Amino acid sequence: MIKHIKNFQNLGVDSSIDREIEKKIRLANSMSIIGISTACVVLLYGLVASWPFPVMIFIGVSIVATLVPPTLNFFKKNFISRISFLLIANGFTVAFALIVGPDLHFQYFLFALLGLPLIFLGKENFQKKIFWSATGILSFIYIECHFYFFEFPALINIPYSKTISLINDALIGIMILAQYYFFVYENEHYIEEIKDKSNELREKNTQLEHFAYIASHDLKEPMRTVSSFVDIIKEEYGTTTDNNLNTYFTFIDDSLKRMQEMIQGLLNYSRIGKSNQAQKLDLDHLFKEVLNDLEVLIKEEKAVIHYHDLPTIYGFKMEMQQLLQNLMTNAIKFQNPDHAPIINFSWRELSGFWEFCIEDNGIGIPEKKHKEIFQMFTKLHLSSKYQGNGIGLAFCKKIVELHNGKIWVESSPKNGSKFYFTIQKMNRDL
Amino acid sequence: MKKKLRNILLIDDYEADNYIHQRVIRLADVTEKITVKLGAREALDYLCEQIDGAYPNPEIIFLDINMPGMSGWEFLDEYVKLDEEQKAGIIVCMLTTSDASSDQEKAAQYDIINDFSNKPLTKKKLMTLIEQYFPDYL
Repeated sequence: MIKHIKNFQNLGVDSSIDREIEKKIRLANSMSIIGISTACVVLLYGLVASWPFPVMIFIGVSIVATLVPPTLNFFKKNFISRISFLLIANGFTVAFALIVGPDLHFQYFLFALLGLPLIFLGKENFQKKIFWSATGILSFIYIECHFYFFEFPALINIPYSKTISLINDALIGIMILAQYYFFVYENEHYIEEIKDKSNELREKNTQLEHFAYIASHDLKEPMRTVSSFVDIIKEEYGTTTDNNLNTYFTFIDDSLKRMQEMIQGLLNYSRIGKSNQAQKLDLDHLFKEVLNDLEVLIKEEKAVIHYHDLPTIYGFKMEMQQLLQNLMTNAIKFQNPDHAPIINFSWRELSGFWEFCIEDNGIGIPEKKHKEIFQMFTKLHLSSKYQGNGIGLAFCKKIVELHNGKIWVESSPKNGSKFYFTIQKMNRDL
Repeated sequence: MKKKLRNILLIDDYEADNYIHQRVIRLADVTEKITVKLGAREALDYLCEQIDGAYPNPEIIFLDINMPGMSGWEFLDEYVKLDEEQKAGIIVCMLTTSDASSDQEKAAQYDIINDFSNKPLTKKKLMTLIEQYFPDYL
């Protein structure tokens, strides 16, 4: 029996369907089961109390009508199915209440249906939700008015029975409870699945990071061997006057150097946040250290740097230092030769976050590259013009994400760049 | 008159490294003989085998850590069980990459490791080692 009910609930569900929709399909089917069961109970006590024949026909029709939404689900029309359920449930309840009159409490079944539109319609259907919920309320008000203003409200006279109105009250309660039960049940499953998925994702991510580590780590060895043998060749045949050979060696050396840098970059990238614990960081102090390290570059380029009273944050020291250093180096480096860099490091406190901005007056970045620059090994310029290996901003992104923040740029060519990043305040995860 | 070492043992599965290290040692001209073993097991067998009534007793073992089958660590675990007369002069651990900080920590736990060095071995590193451990031989 339970197996059959489960099969019925799953009408129209298959693996290709989005989990969110699947939840709604199952809920619509479940609601149809509740509706049919309720109608059957009514039919049963109608038979016992020998209600007039037309009333019994009406109940029979309502049972058949309630089979429509699951049928629509079966034919993959799940949205229409849900709408039809709202329509059928509402329509038959109103009609039935009007037919049999107020005393049997059928109008109160509308209450059990009030919340359904909120669940059945997605968040993009706000107006439809309001419309359907309002329809339920208005129907109820209409029924009440109808009974109040007309002297003979019942179309078909059914002998009043206190037992039946009591059974109806109980049924309404059961219906509402069952609705809650199915709703919570579906949601819990849904949430559990999402949890599983996110765990899986986290695991995959760890695997990927580990892979990057292993790959770059193991690539270093053959690299080193090649470079050792190049050294040996140069040592043993180094005095050649063959110009071609010298050119070849220059290319080999350059490529080896670049490859070594890239491999080391990948390795370091995979290690961000692994070496240490988050701690209290006086950014003012840290930034001064960074400027100290960049002293030669700053003097060379005659860069002017403005900043004031940086806050104390909670973060990874080495990583924060690298983040600031990379952003500052970029701000100084990407500048027209005839221009002196003017850099403004500003910050503000937001709820839950610190937001920082490093603004320069450099060459700027075209808008369609604003995302790309944060990817590994992305370079926008020829090495001969601006040196670099395309690693710096990828590091920045990973470091900022380690601090549960975001990094983005506002810039256009020739108008300088503003690099923003946020750092979450005192974080339990850190 | 410069005195040469008798025997240096290289334990490494990577032939390219063995070739480079052999070359460095040969060019430095510090030893009569260089023995190369491609695995830890073979190296142990070699140390235990008497030739003309004497164990090989190399003065220096350059030991690679990361080897398939029996690793460098496992070699060291077996090595400590050898008779004193079978053991070598000093053991130098060869670390594959400069980043192997966890390997360095582990190496520090082994008392029998005299020193460790990053690959590849260079003449400078070799001479520093000999200066430190075999001053008479210079």
